[in-house]
Amino acid sequence: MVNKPDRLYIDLKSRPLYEKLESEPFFKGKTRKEQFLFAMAVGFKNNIKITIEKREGIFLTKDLKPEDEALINAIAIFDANSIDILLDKAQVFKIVEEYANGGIQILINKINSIEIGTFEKYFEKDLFDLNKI
Amino acid sequence: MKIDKIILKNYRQFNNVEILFNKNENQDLHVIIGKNGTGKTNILNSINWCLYQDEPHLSKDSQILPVVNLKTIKETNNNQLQKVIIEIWLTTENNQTMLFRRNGLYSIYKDENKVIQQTNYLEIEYTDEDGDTKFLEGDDADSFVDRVLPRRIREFFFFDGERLDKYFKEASSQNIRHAIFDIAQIDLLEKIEKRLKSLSRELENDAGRLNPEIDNIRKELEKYEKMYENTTLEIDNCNEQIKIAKEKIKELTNSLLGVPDIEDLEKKREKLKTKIKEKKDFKKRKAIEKQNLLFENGTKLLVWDCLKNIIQIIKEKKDNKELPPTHDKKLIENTIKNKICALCGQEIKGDSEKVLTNLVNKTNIISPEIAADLLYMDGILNNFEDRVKKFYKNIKEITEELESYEKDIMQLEKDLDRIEKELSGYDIEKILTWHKERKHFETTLDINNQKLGILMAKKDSSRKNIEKLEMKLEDELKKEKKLKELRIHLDFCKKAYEIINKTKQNIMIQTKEEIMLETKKIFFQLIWKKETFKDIIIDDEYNINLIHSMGYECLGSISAAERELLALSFTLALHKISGFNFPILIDTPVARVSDEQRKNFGNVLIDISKDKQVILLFTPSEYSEEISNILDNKAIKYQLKLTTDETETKLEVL
Amino acid sequence: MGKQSKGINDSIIREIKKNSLNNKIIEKFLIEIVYGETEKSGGLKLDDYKKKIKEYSDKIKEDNDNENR
Repeated sequence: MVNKPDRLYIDLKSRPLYEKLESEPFFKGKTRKEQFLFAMAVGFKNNIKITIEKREGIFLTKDLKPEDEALINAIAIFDANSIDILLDKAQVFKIVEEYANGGIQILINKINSIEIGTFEKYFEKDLFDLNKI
Repeated sequence: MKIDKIILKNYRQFNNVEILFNKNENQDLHVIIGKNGTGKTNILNSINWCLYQDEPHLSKDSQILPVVNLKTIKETNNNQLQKVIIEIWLTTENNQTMLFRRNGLYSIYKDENKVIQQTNYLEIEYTDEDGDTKFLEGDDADSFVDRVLPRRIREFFFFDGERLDKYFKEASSQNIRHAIFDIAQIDLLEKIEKRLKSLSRELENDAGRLNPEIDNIRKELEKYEKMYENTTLEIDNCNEQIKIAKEKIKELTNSLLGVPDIEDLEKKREKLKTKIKEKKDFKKRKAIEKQNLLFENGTKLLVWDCLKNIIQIIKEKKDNKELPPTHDKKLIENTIKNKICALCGQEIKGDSEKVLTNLVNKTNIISPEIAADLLYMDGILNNFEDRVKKFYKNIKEITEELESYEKDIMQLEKDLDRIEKELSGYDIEKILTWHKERKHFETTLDINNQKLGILMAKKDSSRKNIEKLEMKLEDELKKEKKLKELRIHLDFCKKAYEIINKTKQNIMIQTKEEIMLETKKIFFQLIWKKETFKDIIIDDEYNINLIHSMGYECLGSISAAERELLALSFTLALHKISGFNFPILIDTPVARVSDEQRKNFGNVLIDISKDKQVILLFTPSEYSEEISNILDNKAIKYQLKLTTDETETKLEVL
Repeated sequence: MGKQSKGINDSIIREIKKNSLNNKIIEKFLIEIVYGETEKSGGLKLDDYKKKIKEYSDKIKEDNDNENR
């Protein structure tokens, strides 16, 4: 069993992107963790993983709630197509970190292309389009 | 007035004697001569006994003896009654006659040597102005006597000559004062004074007792009347205020007419503003709620496919009973390796090892760590599923709510706008002031109306109290009527007292003056030394002063005769002033006068007897040559002679 | 001077009249009292005075009422 890393990482280059994220009201007030997870989800949805060139911690592992871990694990299992990935938490993290790295780019691109404050509106529409349930 | 005769029956020395007093030509002078013991003085006593039922001049000898004549007693049997009678017959200046008769009835107890009076009464017979004979007895008789010659001044009319001598020697001012007092009837006035004073006091006490209550009631009444007055003023004030308030209200209402109810509008506006804010707040909160919902669920929804997949995998594993794992792979591997059961510690033997090995070789045993994660994830992911299922519904709801808020807000803002349009163009402050003023006056009106109610009640209560007190006062005033009456009586009493008091003082002064002048007149008329004396003064202290022609007071240094003359002058002055023109009767008139002076005195007596009846009682030795020479021709002489057995005296006219 | 009527010095009566000024009622009252004292033996009692005062006071009251009328 490989030990869980104590934190999750983003690319150093992505740091300003997270800062930019805050300019959109939808993301303002959300924790880095929450922002990360959102970016991760966006990255997964768009199936974009980008390798981290230069690592920089973004939040501590202990901040992860069971919900968040479940999410992370799920994505890792899906990505690795094996439940055994769970034995390697470092790997799990790596996967989601790369997804998040990709997702943040997408998010910023989107934000740059729309009017400030309208992200929520677009997002909501996207979600309704996803309505598969 | 003169005495016509005196009849003495059984009185002391006099068994049955009548003394006739006839007038001589020019003078009415009578001389009765008698040795001591003959009853000379008892003639004086008889007059007193008759008029006043007493004998003030009894000699020591006479005092021992009974009133009843000795001869009579001698002739009386034991236990017999004898009468003693004295009659005095008088004629007034108006020629009216008077008879005073006193009867004394005595029981004679010869054996015991006692004479005891049984009855004693006075009878009077007189003729009045019309010539009718009138009879009096008892109290009426006594009153009559008192009118003819009051007891209190008899000593100025019949007295012992010694008195003349002593009069100005001993306590003369008292004597004089006393004399004037008697003559002027001051004692009467003093009695009246005393009575009036004590009545005044009584009345004052009665009045005082009635007074305090009335005072108290009056004070209370005043209090309530004042209250009534003040309340009335306050009511007027109140009404004034009410009037003003009403006018002002009317005025302001007019001003505000046509003006929108600014206050109301303002209120509405404020309300709207508040509501709008409220709604906006709700909206904001909802928006945040929605946002959060989106964010949270969004994260999951974005990876839903993945989540669904994992849920499925887990479900399958569970269905396959791979989850939770039934065997602990590691545990079994250790058991095989150690050949000891990891659970119970027993040695693994025989087939057990094979079984265990087969078990381990099964490929589907999930490691415990993974199993734990998966199981954990299972719950959470299923929970996601539930939430996600609810998500769309919730979002819809929230969106609708937001829209509704938005709609409300829009409406409210429209209303607000409308109101603000209405308010614009008005001097809001002025209008608000009007409203405020009107409110103020409305309040004033209210307060004053209330106050008015209270004041009216107070006024009414005051009035009731006043009525009650007035009734009480009337009751007391009914007593006050008595008080008024008392007051009238008191005033009357006091006034009467004042008058009597003044009368008394004036009479005293007047009388003193008169007596002084009369004394002076008589004295200078009678005195033989015409040039020696200048004046007679009775001062305020009632001291009599004889002023020598040289100017000094010489009462102390004059002769007995002169002194007696002064006393006599004074006496005669008293007669005159008193208005009682009774005869003068003097017992031993000149006993203390020296021989030389007796002559003078004799002349004086003659002079006096020209206008007044003079009866003189002399002892033989007193009736010395000097006086007898003077009096013999002018006076009617009588002689008293005791009988040989000395039981009676006989009178002889000389 | 000094004349007596009914046992009372005239001067007293005169003096009373003078001092009463014009108050005839008091004058009459006092004269009555004075005579009363001399006529009866023992004179008048306090009650006699009271009665007379009442009598005369009533007269005053009557006069006042008459005046006022």
